[in-house]
Formats: sequence, structure tokens, C-alpha cells
Amino acid sequence: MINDLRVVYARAYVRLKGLIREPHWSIAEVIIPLLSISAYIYMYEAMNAADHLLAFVAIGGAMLAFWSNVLWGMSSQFYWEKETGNLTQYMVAPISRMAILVGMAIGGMLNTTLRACSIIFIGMLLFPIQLSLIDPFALVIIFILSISALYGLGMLFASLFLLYGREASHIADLLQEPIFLLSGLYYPIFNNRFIPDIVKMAASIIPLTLAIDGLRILLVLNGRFEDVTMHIIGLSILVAILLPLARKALHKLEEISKKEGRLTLRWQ
Amino acid sequence: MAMRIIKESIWIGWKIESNWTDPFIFFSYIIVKPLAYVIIIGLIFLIGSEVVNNEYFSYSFIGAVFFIYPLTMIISLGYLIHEDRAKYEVLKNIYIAPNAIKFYIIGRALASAINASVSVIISIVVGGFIFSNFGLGLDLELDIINYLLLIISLILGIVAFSFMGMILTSINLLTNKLQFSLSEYSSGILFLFSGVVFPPTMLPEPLYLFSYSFPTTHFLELVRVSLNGSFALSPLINMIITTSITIVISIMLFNHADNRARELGIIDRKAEY
Amino acid sequence: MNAIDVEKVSRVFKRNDNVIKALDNVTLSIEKGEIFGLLGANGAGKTTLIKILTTLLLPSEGNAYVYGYNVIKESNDVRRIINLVSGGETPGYGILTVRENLWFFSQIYGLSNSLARERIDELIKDMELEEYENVRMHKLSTGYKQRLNIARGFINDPKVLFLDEPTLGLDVLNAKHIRRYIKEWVKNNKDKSILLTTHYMSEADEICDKIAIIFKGKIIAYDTPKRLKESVSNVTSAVVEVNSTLMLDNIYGMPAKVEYNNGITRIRILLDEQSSIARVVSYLDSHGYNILSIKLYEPTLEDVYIKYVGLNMNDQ
Repeated sequence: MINDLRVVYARAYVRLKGLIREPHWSIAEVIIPLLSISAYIYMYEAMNAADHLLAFVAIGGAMLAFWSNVLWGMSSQFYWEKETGNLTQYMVAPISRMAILVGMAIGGMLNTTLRACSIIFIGMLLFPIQLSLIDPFALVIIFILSISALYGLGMLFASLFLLYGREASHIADLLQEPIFLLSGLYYPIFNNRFIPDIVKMAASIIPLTLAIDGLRILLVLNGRFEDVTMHIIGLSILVAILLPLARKALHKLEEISKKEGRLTLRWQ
Repeated sequence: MAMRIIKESIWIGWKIESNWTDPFIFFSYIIVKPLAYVIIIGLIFLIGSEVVNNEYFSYSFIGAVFFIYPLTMIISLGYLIHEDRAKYEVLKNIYIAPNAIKFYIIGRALASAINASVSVIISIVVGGFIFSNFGLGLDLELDIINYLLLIISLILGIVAFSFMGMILTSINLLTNKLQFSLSEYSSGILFLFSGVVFPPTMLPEPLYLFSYSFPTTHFLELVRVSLNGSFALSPLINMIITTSITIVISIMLFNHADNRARELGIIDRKAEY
Repeated sequence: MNAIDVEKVSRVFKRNDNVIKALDNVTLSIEKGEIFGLLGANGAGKTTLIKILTTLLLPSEGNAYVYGYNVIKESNDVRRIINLVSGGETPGYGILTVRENLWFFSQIYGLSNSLARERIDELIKDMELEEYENVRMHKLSTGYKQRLNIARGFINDPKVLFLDEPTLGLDVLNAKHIRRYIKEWVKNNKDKSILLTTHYMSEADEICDKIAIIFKGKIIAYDTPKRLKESVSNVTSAVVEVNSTLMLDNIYGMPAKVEYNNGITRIRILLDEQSSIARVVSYLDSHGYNILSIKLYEPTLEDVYIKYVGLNMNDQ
């Protein structure tokens, strides 16, 4: 157990060092979402849309930072670790592979939380965006559940990406815009009469959708715990499904790799 | 010689961009992604407007759809050096062939322009159909389109975006970690400053003027004019001027990067993770 | 108890309709305190065997033990006492320094911070990395990256270290440094063992206590370098140079290694008896080849390889 904690800490340390050593990565991950956020805010302003929609866009953009990190910083990570030979080392070491994934996730969460806050802060400076909070407890619950579900998905994808090679990462790339569409990065999903109920239900299985909507209710619409109960239940279910699935996928990955010897082949 | 290199590069570009998966997934790729993106634009309109303004919807929708050209081409060229140098390790072989590298880049740009064309057509047809059901009409009548101007706009646009992409390849030639951020910065800046989904006049004064330095702004304006069936000289002249400036800057920058990369010995530098 | 016991291990790979037998009924033992060299061409099965012993791959048949632990059923016990270094791979993170990378891997093996520090200091000194200890990995040259890689392999003080082509692509000085360190380590730690795979015959000859030659998944020779060389002591190795391009792989049925360079053909050939050099000369002469030089040598491991496999491993 202590050894696993050491691994978690060491792997998170690599991520945090990256933040300091390669600041341009973090700057890019703040500025790039801000560019599209700004475009969509101007678009809303051009049509004299309600002010809360501008804040919705900022929160969507901030959560986009988490999504990008989950997809490219978590899901693809084992794949890159394989290229450098790190994965082989993880596999020959007497450690829990989950500890590596948890370490990556914790490092990623800390980095990205900083970026997400910066996005919202700069967004508030540039545009007439008003945020308010009347139930911090609900916010903490929603936030923790959101990132647990998101990074649970990232851990699951990490094994799947490696198992299915480059094609998996291309499919994730292919689904990027559809996920943005369904998760309501730039508009509300649930309180939206133009989106059919069946699509709203399907969108709820994406952790990003519930996370964004829950945060908007609490930070923009002055919501309280009872207003996000369904979000909390939904996200809890996702966490309960995704984390064990991630563990299972990792075991499956190791089993298949050992049987087929695919782990150390590059560029497959 | 040059034509042959361009032709071969289009073929290689097509292979690289389509060969990683089965054709079904590839076509989904060039259809699903852009379609989802234009539906996002439509949904923002439906949510944000009290009363739907079809003229503004057409403005944003056409802007978003035709922005697929610079977006696809710039992202494709933004990753070219990294892919060819570190992943496929073919850059040095192309580089040492006489006069090949610039034409190779142009060829690869044209390959992605072909993909973008498919995305644009599908997005207009399917996106337009979806939103017509929600009372969002496109001011688009096939028999009034100024086809000559549209073709001129597309040719000028593709030339301009190829050379804009070449600027990214020049920077990537000298660096080895910027391929992701550079492509994303460029597409983000162009999306914000080219009058894609809102008129550039919405931007604060100095930034508004800044937007007119990009060929993308004039390209989208020209496309809108041609689709309306009219003609306007000033966007055409602006487009020709900005495209020419882009070509000159691009070639100068590429020649500089080329010399500098040889000086530093980094033409065949491998990836570092 | 041996450091490694491999019992009738086979491994089959199925790729689409192809079935490849990478290992075929391999049996061998490595004693404690031994550096064991596994020689073979690309695809001979060296890396497959290493993967099985390091728990990365399951055998299709047979059993293997590392310090008595079964690699299939007791993989975690095996992992506690081994480490693996593969040449050409540089595990670690480019943004971390040499010292930080070693610390990272020390944590993977659960070392306390104080023990980690002590061991890292020692390894940095042993690998002569002092000047680079605070340099980020991506700035190191290939040679120093490989020194870091070797240092990483010793971070958990393994009982068995697997070195898969550790000097691949290194210059003479770096390769020599690494060979010397490996030799010293086993000499000073009598319960430690190394399984080394290499392309370089002279490397194996220099540092290995025992050698196995693997060919198409089978062990075809297995002994000390001395005894292996003795097995070809009744033959003489000759190198003949002729001034034209000669296409052959044997002369009078005697296996030969042929190299071409600037219109000159260099033939390395094993002769049953010294007198048979006359037959070679007359053969070449009668075919109109102009002999430039003839040199006779004591047999080396390369000749052992030619004898058992028939061709030089690089030519396959």
C-alpha cells in the first residue's frame, strides 16, 4: 500500500514538474480554449443573448480543459509511455498498475484545475461574466464527483487506447466535436427545448455533460444542493461504473499483452 | 517536375490522412466532425436568439462551414513536419530530393483541401436541412450563386491557406514540441479574428483592424458575396493583396527556416517525449 | 537453486494466418554469480525469452523460474528481484533531470527516500553522470541516456538483471564503460546474475561466463566461451581477399562469410585442416580470381557461430 502511494506520488510529480518546466504547455492550454470561448461569447453578444449564456460559455470552456487533459493527457498516455519504453518498466516492476494511472490522474487534475480557474478568471476580466456561489458544499461535491468520473473515463480509455492502438485515439479524435455537441460546452443541454429528450438522456452518460450543467447551476444560476441532486446521483453512478471498469480494462490489457506479446511493439 | 511532386504529394497526403483506418471511419471523420461543429453553431443560434435573424444565421453558418478549409489545411500542415520527421522519418529523404520540399508541402495542403471540400459540401447540405426544420433558413439559392467568384475565392483561399500552413511548417522545422499548440493557436486565432461566426466589427477597435490582415477574413467575405449572387471588388482586392503578402512572408520564412535547420542539423531530429 | 531455470519453453506467435515459432523447446540454467550471454540474429528468439523471464510474456509451453519463482504463477515475486534494460530504449521523462528520473524509478520499486538518495548518489558516481545529474534527460546524448538507462536497471539492486542489447548503437567508450561496470557488479556480488543478449561476439566473449547460441528459436550451442572456442579448435579461420565480386556461401562445402567492399571480396572461411587452404587457393585461382591476401587466425566466437549456424548472424 505504501509502495503504491509512492508510485502515485512519483507519477503525479512528473506531471507537476511538467507544469513548471514546460510552462508553454500550460499557457497554451489556457489561451487556446480562451480563443474559442471569446468567439462564442462575441457570437452570443452579436445576437443580444441573455448574460447568463456568456457565463455558461466560460464554464464550458474551463471544463474543456479537463476534457482535453483526460483525452490527451490520460487516455493517450499509456500509448506514449509504450513508445518511450516506460510502459515495459511499469510492467516488470512489482507495483499496482492502477497506482500509475491514479498518479497521472492526480497530477493532471491539479494542473488542469489551475488552468480551468485561469480560464474562468481571464474570461471574467475580458467579458461581462458574473459568477456567484451560495452553496460551496454542493460545489465541492459536484467538482470532486465530476473530476473523478472524468478521470475514471480517462483511466479506462488509457487501457483501451493501448489495446486498440492508434485507431482508438483517432476514433476519440473523431468523437471530439460530437462530444462537444452533446455535452453542451457552449449552451445548456437539459434546459434546451431544441434537443430531443432521448439525446439528453444519451448525453447524460458523458461525465462532462453532468459536470458542466451542475457547475452552471451552482455558479451561474444561484442553485443549491437540491438543484443538483440528479447531477450528483448521475455522476456517482458514473464513478461507480467507470473506476471498476478502468481497473478491469487494465487487467485485461495486461493479460492480453502477456498472451500476445503486444506490449512492447511500437507504432502498432 | 514540380507538378509531378505536387501530384505525388497529394497522393501521399491522401494516403497518410486516410490510410490509418478503414474507409468507413475515415469518411465518418471528414463528415461527423465538421457536421457536429456546424450543428453547435446552429444550436447557439437557437438558444441565444429571442427572435431568429436568418441573415445573421446565414452569416455565421456559411462562415463556420467555409472556415473548414483553413481549419483542415492549417491543422494538417501544422502536424506535417512532426509526423514526417519523427513518426514516419521520411522528412530527410524528401528534403534531399531537388526542389521537393516546398512542392511536397503544397501537395499535402491540396490533399487536405480535397478532404475539406467533402466536409464543406456535406455540412452545407445536412446542416442546412437540419436547421431549416427549426425555422433557421439559409439565404442560399443555387441559381443565384456567382459561381465564377466562388471558384476564384476557393482558388485564392486554397493558395493562401497552403502558404499559411507553410508558415507553420517553417516554425515546426526549427522547433520540435510546438506542433500541437501552434496548430491550435493558429486555428483559434483565425476563428476569433476572421469574422467566422460574428462580424469582425464586434471586436474592440485595434483587434477589429487586425482581423483584416488575415486572408481568411476576406475569403469568408468573398464566399458570402458569391453565394448571395453578387460581386464586390474590395474583398477580392483585399484577398489578392493579403494572399500575396502571405506567399511572400511564407517563402521568406521557409527559406530562413530551411537554412537555419541545416545550420543546426535538425532536419532529421527525432521526437522527444 | 539457480538464478534462472528455463524448462522446455516454447512460444508461438499467431499473426493473421502466420504462425511463428519464436522459441522452440528451450532449456537452460543460469547460475548465481554468472553473466550469461544469449547470442543470436534478429528474430532468433532472444528478446522473446527475455520477455518471458521478465513476466512480460507468457510461454506457450514449458516453465521458467527466476530465483525459484515461477514466472507464470509468481510474477510479482519475480518482479521484486529483477530489472530490465533494453538498448535503444530510454525509459524516463524528458522533462525530468537524470537525478529525478532515477528517483522516479526508485519510487516504482518502493525505495524509501533516504535509501533512494544513497543509491542514486552511488549510481550517478558509478556511471560517471555527475556532470549531468541535474540535466534534463532530453538534453543528454545517446551514450549518456544509455548510461542513465543502465543506472536505472540497478536502482532496485536486482538479483537478476536482464540486459537486452545494452550497448546497441553506442560508441566504443560508452560501450566499454558499460561492459566494465556490468562485469564489476557481478564480480562484487556473488549472488547476482545477468542475462545479456547481444549482437556483438566480442562483447559476449569479453564479459560472459557462459554463452548460448540461439537460432530460429532453438538453443544450438550452450557452454563457456572457452569451451565453445575449443569446439572449433580443430579448425583454422582464414580470411582471403580477392579483387572481384564473388558470389558464394561456401567453398567445397565449407561455410564461408562473404563481404563485398569497393570491388574487393573478403571471404572468412573455416578450414578443417590448415592444408586445405591450398584447395581454397587453387579453387579461386582456377576460377580466375586474383588473390590479394590470405590471413590465418585462431578461432573466435564468430567462428563458433559460423560453425553452428552456417552464416554470420549479421548476414541473415
